[in-house]
Amino acid sequence: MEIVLFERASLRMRGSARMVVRSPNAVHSVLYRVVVFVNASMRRFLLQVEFRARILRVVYVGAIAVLFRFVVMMLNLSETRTENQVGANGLGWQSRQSQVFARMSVRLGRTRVSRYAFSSEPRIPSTRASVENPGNGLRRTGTYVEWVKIMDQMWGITAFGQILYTDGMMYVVSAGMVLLVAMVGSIVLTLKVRRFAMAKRQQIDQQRSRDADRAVMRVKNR
Amino acid sequence: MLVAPQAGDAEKLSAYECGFNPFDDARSRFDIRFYLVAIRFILFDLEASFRFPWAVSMSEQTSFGYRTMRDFVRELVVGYVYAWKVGALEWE
Repeated sequence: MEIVLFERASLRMRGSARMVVRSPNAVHSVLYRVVVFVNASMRRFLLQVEFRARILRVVYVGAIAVLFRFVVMMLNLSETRTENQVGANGLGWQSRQSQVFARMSVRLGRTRVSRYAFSSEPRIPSTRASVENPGNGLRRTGTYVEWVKIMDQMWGITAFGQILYTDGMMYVVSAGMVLLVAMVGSIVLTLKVRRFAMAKRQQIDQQRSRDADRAVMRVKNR
Repeated sequence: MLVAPQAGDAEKLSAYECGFNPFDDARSRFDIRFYLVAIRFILFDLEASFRFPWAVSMSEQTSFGYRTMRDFVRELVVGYVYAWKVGALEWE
């Protein structure tokens, strides 16, 4: 069941990735890109990395696709190219190429997925992992972490959180620095107009506390 | 939609406006401040999603993990205070 879903997600991802490139309308290709992201996160759900799947959906579909859409709208692409020439000449080799890619993607999915992810046997044979028997003449230092056993015991998000904030502290803090630079940089790049424009602003407090008795007064008529 | 043959021409692909030719494009350019708001949304979205595994695995962490998250949040608070002071949060 999982492998059917996995291959279906892979094929849908590949097909919509093709439509991202081939679609004459840039907004449509952004929407096809959303389909690519959704199917990629579905594949990650099937590989049981739930946190990465959810983050991919939240960040890429929710945020970055919106940004791409904004970029497309800011580019102001007005001409819509018709596809007559492509249909006459280029579709032959492109469809053949897409068939080849489809077969390749199915085959890759079948080998990788069925042999490692969804089978009951452990992902790495234990003889290769042990310290006493390094295997293949390779000397391995330290102990090998068998992620399959650990992942059965806890959620992926818990395992992720246990190592991210202690072992990967530098990554988290430097990610925060990158976010800070992104925020300051976007403000500096885009917000140059406001500082020099001395426009008359609204002052909400004064306007709302304004009283009719003091604002409207009677003027003697001469 | 993927398989069916499509023979699009200029009339089919343009926006339909009640019989006459369209005056202008259906999409129009917009202010860059929308883009700024979207970028800010992404930043705090990412911050919130970094908090989820931290919150779930807090019982297994030492105080070192707590301090990591505190520094991470502090860096973003610096950016937030900067945006507030400069006036990027106001729409005018």
